[in-house]
Amino acid sequence: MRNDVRRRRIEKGWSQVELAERIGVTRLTVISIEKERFDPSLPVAFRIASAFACSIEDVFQPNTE
Amino acid sequence: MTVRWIAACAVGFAVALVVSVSAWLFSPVAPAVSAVVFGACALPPGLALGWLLCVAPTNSAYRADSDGDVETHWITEALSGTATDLIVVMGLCLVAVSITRADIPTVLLLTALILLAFASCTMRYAVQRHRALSA
Repeated sequence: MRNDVRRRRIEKGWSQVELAERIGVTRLTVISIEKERFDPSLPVAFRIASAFACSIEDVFQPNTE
Repeated sequence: MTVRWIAACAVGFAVALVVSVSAWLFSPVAPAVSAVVFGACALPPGLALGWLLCVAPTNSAYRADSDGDVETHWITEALSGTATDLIVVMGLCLVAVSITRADIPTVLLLTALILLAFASCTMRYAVQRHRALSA
């Protein structure tokens, strides 16, 4: 699953630690999500979308391949 | 929070006391020494149990919601792989022992299995962590 968490986080001026605290996960989780090595659970995806004030579909897109 | 820590200590000492009295009652030799040794050994796990029951529920609210963390995913995958490793190794060992009729001491065998499980889980966790965090 592709995502633009990193771009949105930088736009907000947040560090990875700050985003991790906002969505209630560890920094390693944020790093893994940004590198697209880990697909977050639905509750975490909702919290990420809420943190960026957008919908889940705006942040996460399925791989079309 | 202080009350919770006191309760945790109380649980720990209660566990140590129960173990100590049990050792004193059932030990065939030197019941007093057994009671002291068993009580001392049971105190740390008892305190850990007390912390788990009394302190952790309020102090670790963040960790209680850790299902979404990547570390939870890694450890789950590592433990799953470790179970597979253990079954394979135990099966191969069983075949080898059946063929060679070797008489392996039980303590040695169980210790080896525990060490294998620790090593397997640690390696699998480390590999997943490295893969996820490297470029």
